[in-house]
Amino acid sequence: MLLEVVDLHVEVKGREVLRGINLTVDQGESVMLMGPNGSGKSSLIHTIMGHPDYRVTKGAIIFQGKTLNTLPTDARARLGIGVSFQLPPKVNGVTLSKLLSEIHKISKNDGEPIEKYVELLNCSDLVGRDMNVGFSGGEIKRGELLLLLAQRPMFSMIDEPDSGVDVESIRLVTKAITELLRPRDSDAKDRPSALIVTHQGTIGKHVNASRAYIMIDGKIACFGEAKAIVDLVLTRGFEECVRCMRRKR
Amino acid sequence: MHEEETLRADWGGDLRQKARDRLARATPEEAELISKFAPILQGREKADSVSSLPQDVRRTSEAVGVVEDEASRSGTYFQMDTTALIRKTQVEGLDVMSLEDAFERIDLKPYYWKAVPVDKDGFTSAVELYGKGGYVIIAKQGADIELPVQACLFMKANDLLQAPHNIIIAEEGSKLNIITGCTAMPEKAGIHAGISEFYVKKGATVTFTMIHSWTHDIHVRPRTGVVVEQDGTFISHYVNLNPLSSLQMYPIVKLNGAHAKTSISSLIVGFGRSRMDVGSEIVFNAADTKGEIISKSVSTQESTIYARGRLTANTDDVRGHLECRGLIMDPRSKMYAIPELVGNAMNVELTHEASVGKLSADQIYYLMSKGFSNDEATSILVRGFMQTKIEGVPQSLESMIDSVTDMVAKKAAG
Repeated sequence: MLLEVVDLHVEVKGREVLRGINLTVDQGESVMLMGPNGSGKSSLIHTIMGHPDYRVTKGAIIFQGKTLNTLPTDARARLGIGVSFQLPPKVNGVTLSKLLSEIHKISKNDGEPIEKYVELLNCSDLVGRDMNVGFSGGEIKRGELLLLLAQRPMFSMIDEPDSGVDVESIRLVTKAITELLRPRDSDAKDRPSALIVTHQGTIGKHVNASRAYIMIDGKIACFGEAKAIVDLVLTRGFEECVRCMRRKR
Repeated sequence: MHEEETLRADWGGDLRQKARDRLARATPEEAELISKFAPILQGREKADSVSSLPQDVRRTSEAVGVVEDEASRSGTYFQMDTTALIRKTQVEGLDVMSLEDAFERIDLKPYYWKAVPVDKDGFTSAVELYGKGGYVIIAKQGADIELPVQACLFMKANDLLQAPHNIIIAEEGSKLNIITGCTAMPEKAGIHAGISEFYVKKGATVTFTMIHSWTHDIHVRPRTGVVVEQDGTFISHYVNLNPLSSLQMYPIVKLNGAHAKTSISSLIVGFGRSRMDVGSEIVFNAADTKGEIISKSVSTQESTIYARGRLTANTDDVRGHLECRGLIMDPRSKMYAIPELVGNAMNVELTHEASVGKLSADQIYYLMSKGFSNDEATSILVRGFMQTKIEGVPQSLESMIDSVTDMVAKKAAG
């Protein structure tokens, strides 16, 4: 197992946002995490990445057999975890290309030249601009995915790649995710994995995920085969899940 | 207090008297600083080029932008203590002189104490009474002086009152770039009170970069006035890199002609127990004038920084923007951002943005999630914070400002 989240409880400024999450991602696997706005999906990403405001009160995050709970964010990144954020901060004075070259300096794998990805994500107009300053919704996602491609993590968490973007952006985002998941070599051990977060589910039609989780109110409401869950959400929304959860209770 | 310098021109008597009167009313701080240090004649070294300066002087002045390769400069002025060691003009259309030379060669009356009042304060008065040296740089009508002029005001003697008076005249349609570095030998005490008067005439452009690098016991009181005529442009960058005892400056740029423009940026880093009070003002006196002030300050250790800025609109149809950003890197340091907008007419557009605080935790987390350590993230963010891009800066100046910024970022993150 690449990632194992076990009975995870998390507080932000004294408020419980995750209430006993269990979730796994296998090597080479793409997993969807779905749920309505405010259900805790981004909180799970921030907790796995080690955001200082997200305090684990119970449970564990285990990555490649190692417990992450107290590890600082940069150490987690160095283990091979990366995020494409939904709402990254603006960084005045630091251009996207500057950040790409800084990432290149610290990353071990030389891999593909970044120019290829700049072209793939249609970012040539974006690289000279200050990071996320005045970026449109689609530009934010393309910029984040470009940085992720420069990092080439073993495990990518991609937050809402399909929200607020047009059809063309979805196409580019899909290409980038496919590229992120492409095995580095023929060795099956090195197949990257991803956790793809979406509240709409649109991206589920484009990427080849194996399983999906539904999160409601800080808990996993349901999980199963990706196609079945995505179809359920796309046709009936999350209302059905909320009802189902109540019945279980 | 000290023996007065001889009068340089017969028309200067009234100015001299005003200075005496003002100094008689000196504030306690002015009196203390002016009397404590002496306008002694020092720096008897002979040098006719930067490369013939003593090695320690050369190394110290290099840090404030002085280059040995004089071919890459259109002119050079180098003042050691109170002596103008080097005055060199290397291109047509340019004149680089000492103030004393200029008094002999040209009529300075229309420029001398016209942009800065002689009795503005005790320090301006002290410069009139005791000052020696300073440069006079003139770009002749229509001259496009592409390579920068370099100037250096160097303090080598201990307990020196260095009081140069600089006058810069860009005649109609000319273009002039000046890089001035002001610095002192390590371990010296003293005061640097320099006057700079700029006259940017019709359609002329002046780009002025001033780099300061002082030591712990130096007090700094520059006094600058700029007059920009119709269609003229004044671009200024100020960079202060090192600890000092105290600094107070507040250049005033007057946009007196239609379509005149100015852009004033400053980058201040406070180290040690430095007290720095740095501001600037743009006075809009003509229609369709534009101006911006971008002030960035980083306070570290136990430094205190006042970052001021004022836009004063005296007529309709003017546009000004003031950006005042302060970054606090240490709980013992202090930062005060004081932006002011003054509208004396109705049809004006004056705006400001000001902020003071530490680096944002969200930005640090963001960069750490990309694999950067806390220190690396801090360095990237400090560099970004200090990045100042201003239109119209020639490449040679830009690359120098970049390398200075890198140096400061390393220190600040260090």
